[in-house]
Amino acid sequence: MTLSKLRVGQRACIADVCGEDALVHRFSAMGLRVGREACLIRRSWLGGALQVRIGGTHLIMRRADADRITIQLPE
Amino acid sequence: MRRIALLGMPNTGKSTFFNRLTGASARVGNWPGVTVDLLAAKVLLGAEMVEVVDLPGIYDLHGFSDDEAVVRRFFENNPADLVCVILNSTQLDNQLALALQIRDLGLETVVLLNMADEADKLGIRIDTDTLSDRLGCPVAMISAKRGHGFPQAKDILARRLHEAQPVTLDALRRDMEANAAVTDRAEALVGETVRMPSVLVRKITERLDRLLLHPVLGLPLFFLAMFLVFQAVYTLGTPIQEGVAWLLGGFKHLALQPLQPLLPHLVYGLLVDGLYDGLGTVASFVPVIILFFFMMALVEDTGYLSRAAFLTDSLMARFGLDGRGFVMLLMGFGCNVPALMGTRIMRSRPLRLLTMLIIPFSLCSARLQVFLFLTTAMFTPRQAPLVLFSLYMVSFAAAFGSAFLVRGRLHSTEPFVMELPPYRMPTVRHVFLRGWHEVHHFLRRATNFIVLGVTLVWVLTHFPQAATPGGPGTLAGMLGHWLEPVLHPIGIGAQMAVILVFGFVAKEIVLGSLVAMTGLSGAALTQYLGHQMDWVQAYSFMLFVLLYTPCLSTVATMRSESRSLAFTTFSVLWALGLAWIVSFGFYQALRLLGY
Repeated sequence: MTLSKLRVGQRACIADVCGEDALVHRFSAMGLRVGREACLIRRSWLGGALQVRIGGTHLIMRRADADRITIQLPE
Repeated sequence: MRRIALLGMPNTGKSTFFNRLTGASARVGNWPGVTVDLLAAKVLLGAEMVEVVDLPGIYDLHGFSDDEAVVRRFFENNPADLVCVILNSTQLDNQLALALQIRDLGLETVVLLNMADEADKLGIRIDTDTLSDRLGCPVAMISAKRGHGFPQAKDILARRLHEAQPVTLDALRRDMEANAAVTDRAEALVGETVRMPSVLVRKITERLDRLLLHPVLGLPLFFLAMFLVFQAVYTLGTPIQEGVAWLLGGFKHLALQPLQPLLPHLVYGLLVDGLYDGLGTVASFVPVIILFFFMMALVEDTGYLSRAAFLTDSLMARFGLDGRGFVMLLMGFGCNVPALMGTRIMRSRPLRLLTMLIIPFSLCSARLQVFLFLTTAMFTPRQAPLVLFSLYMVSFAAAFGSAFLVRGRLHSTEPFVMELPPYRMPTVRHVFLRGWHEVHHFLRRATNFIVLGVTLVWVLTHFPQAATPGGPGTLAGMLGHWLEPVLHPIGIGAQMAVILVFGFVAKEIVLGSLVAMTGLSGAALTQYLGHQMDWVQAYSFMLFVLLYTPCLSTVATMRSESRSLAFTTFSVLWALGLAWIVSFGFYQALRLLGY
């Protein structure tokens, strides 16, 4: 399951970030890296951006990019 | 002179700290190895004058964006005696790695944990002693915006700089290549020194966002907010502008006109009818511009612009752009030049070029000045704000339309991820400083161009001396005559054609040129224009001014930022072509309809 499939308010642990090195690097610098907990805060209209919270940081990202991030739901 | 470099991620308040440290004295400078301009200022720190450089905000010292490369090249080519790393206290879990990267380079460092007040409110506790111990450098909590802890931070910087050893660039260049993974170390360090509540609740922000980022209401609310900003600038600015014009007119009447018999005819003409009236007309609009910049600084400071990116991204995606591009477009409403430079945060070249292509269509403050004058001159007070608003709409339409047409050639796969900061209450001081900074740049850029441009227009419209000033026999008249075949179909006469030629240099010149050319100002000029053009011609003229190349500074910035002459040429020609086609379509259609 990927980050974009989370329900609003749901939390999960990042299990994998797939993409070229530069992208993984950049995501990692913004807090999107394996092992961190992500929480979906809201979705924008018409398949638009997502708002995600990682620790104390709120990020906005495109749904397609959120699809590169595989998550593991807590048991 | 020894040098301190300020480094931090975007949205950490680094520039706020820089402004507080340096006052409004910052200058743009060139740096070895770095192709872009960086802000720097000289400050008295302790007993020593030091130079403070504000580096671009970056996420990762070893990242791949242009800004990140700029920072690396800066460190490799310019010895920094001390690096002041500014981190957001509420986001140490993400930001501490940057401080570790700097420590790994062996640079002398001071770490400032900014937004201490916010961290406190959120219940975040940071053990600065242990953190300082582990990092091997001083760590202090501050609030750059409110000034808490600022004197202490200054002392620490002074002391640390005093003890700092000179840097050897060779060793640094070697270390720069060793790209050590720091995230694990950073995480361990955060675990040891930072206590965060398990759930960070941003109560006020969350409540506001529920409304302002509402799936349906969000976008209309955003456009309403923007409309109110422009409306406020217009309603507040117009009386001030009239006041300034009245003062300048009074001064001319009392102090300058008595000089007329004393000075040679030509000298008086150039100095008073040309330069004074020309500059005066431009100057009377400066309060409106200042107001505009303050409003923009206010909107930017609250954190609402990031919301705009969130709201507009899905729309922008259809045009091959992203939400950041929309924010840049909005910044362009102040001035296109910083907006063009702002695209550096985009890593993908096609995306960056596409965004740079559309920014010049943003109705910048210099064009606003021209439109304020013309709408007031040609339309009733009830119509004028609506006409102005329609020009803003055309500005958006031209930007999006262009992106839509070109996006196939500039396709990008860059991910869109950006931070959404909490809403923040802007402080008067900060808004004032930011606004002042923009105004200062505008005035400096404008005055040189205006003085030169106005003088040149005056000369062109008054020589050869035998001809009637501004008439067809002058140099300007001839120039206008040559351009007539191109500009006649869009309703622009020979006189206004010359203005357009000068407007290519900078839109700030347009009004001054009009004054210098006609020898009229104030109400007389308004009346004269009313006789020269009808509203259809005036609107066609404004459309052309809106869409063709904003100014030479924009072209120069485009060239240096894109590093491509071909792209810059394309952008200039595209804008010129679009301007002509739109004006032509509008003018001919309305004439056909019988207006």
